[in-house]
Amino acid sequence: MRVPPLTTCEKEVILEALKSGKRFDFRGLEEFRGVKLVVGSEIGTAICTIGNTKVIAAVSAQIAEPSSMRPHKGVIIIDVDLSPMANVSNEHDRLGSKGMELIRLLELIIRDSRCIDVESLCIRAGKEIWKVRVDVRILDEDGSLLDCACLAAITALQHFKRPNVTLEPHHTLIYSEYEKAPVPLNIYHMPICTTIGLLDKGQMVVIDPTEKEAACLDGSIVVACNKRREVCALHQSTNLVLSTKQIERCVKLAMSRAEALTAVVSDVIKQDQRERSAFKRPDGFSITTPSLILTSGTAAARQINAPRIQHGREPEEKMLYQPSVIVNENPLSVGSVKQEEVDEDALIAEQLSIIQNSVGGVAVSDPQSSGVSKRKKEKEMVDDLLDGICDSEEEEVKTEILGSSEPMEVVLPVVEQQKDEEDVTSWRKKKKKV
Amino acid sequence: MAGRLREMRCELSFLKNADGSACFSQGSTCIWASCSGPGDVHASKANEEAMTLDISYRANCGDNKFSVLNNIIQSTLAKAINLELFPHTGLVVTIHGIQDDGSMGAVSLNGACFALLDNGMPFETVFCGVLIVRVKDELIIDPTAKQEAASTGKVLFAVCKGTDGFPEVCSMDVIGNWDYLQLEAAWSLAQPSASAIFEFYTSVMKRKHSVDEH
Repeated sequence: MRVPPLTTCEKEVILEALKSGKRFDFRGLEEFRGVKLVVGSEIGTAICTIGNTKVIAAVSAQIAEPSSMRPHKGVIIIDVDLSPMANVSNEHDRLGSKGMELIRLLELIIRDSRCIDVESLCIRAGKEIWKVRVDVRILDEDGSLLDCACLAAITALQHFKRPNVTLEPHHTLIYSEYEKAPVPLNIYHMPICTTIGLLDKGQMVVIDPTEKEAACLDGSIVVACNKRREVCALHQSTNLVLSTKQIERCVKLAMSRAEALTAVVSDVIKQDQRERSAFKRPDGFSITTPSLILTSGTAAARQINAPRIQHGREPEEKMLYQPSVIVNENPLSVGSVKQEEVDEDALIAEQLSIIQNSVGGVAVSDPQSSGVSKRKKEKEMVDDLLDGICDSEEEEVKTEILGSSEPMEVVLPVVEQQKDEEDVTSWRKKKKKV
Repeated sequence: MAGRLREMRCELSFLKNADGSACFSQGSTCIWASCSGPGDVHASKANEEAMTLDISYRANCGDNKFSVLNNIIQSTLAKAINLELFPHTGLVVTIHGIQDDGSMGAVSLNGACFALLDNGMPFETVFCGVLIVRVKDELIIDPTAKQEAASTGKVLFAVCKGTDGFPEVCSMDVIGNWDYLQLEAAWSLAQPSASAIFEFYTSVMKRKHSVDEH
């Protein structure tokens, strides 16, 4: 979304007021806005507010492998997130040129000013180091963004404590906060940023400009310094030509500011430590606005009672319930099983088993035993018959010699006997007839 | 079966640049939500029939490109607001999880609704979020971070106010094994919680607009 630019008349009014030494928020030209610092209940989080500018910084640490160039130094990473919450012209997950500038400057101020002892972040040289990550999230912007972000980051770093570790020959033990007290970072000094707006080619200074004022100014200079009166970083936003005197003046202003804010930061941290050591759970960022403000509201914690129908049903009911889940399935879908089919299958299977059993019983016991006995009978009969035939043959041998028609009669009965042995009875009858 | 809903606090319109903003906390879980729009949107994202939603939940640490909460917030918002009223525009909702002490999903949904109410979006129905977790066969509403870590299942209900004024499920996000009865029990707990949250909405918005009455 686009942001409407500052109108010409607005710009003229603001400039006119500034030149006469007045500002729209009733400050003097060399007056700062109020600073509010809150540390969270989670360790290493802080919200900083300067006027309407709001920034949250969160510090986290993890163990990583160091680079081969610096095997015994920890790493500090700074990340800035400019969300549409801060300014509607921002987009999610996209850093514009403003965001890039902010990251570079924060890196310059926090990392390159060597305010944190990175050597103490080394666990095992060349193997394990602490990687400290500072996430700066801009929540609302109204000028002096860098001041606010830097203050939030420094406070969060001061508030942060990394887990304690001990080194064993082959491994590293990391302790939770209940086993061993976490260790705060070693911070040598606190660089504090101050944005100073310049007007009239650097002749006039406007301290801590708001967004609208910054849009009217010729440029601005950012001075980062600590309470030991050392300048940590100097950054000029536009290409104005400034004399040494003008810069010295700016640095002097920044130094007094740095001293004041360092005291505020250490106060906040000390207060938090006192509360924590007394086992009092800190409020953190929970809202503490007075109830007088109309845009705020509070609802006390309350008990929720559910209607007591569902209270603890028996497992049998669960069993009862389940078939309906199957029915609810789409019967048209591939691979689904209809309840009727299931029943039919079961029925068929049952019938089949009954049939098999009955068939087996019949086939194995009755017919085979009876068959065997039948066979025996048959055999006996056949034997008898054969004996009888032999007898008759002997008789007929005699006749063979006598008549030619006799042998035909003898062959016939033998053939008949081979044809149907079972039909013994009929054969017998025949024989008798014969 | 009973549960408790932690203390709810909220502050509206406290950000300068966003159209609607809310700081909402439940217990010590706290979020800041902002909402800007309907405004112009990049041509590649513009929809000629409806408003484009751009929703992002952002945690304190790490990369925030994708968050599990984005989906449920987006689908709930799409149902709660009549998007077709504002074609060719965009609505940007940003939720910053400032302090996490459990049930972040529910708190972000509530905060998003407050930000939209503060912005004055025309709602079809207001919505809220209720997170219910199961710890050893016991259901807990609005769990703290410890309870959430010990849970074996989570259900996040996005609840709408139905036409008859009673809560209705708008969308939900379930993690873990739940049988139907347990889900029913969870819903029976979520209903009164949602009603309580809706009451809170009403009281806060009445208070905010009370200046106009006098």
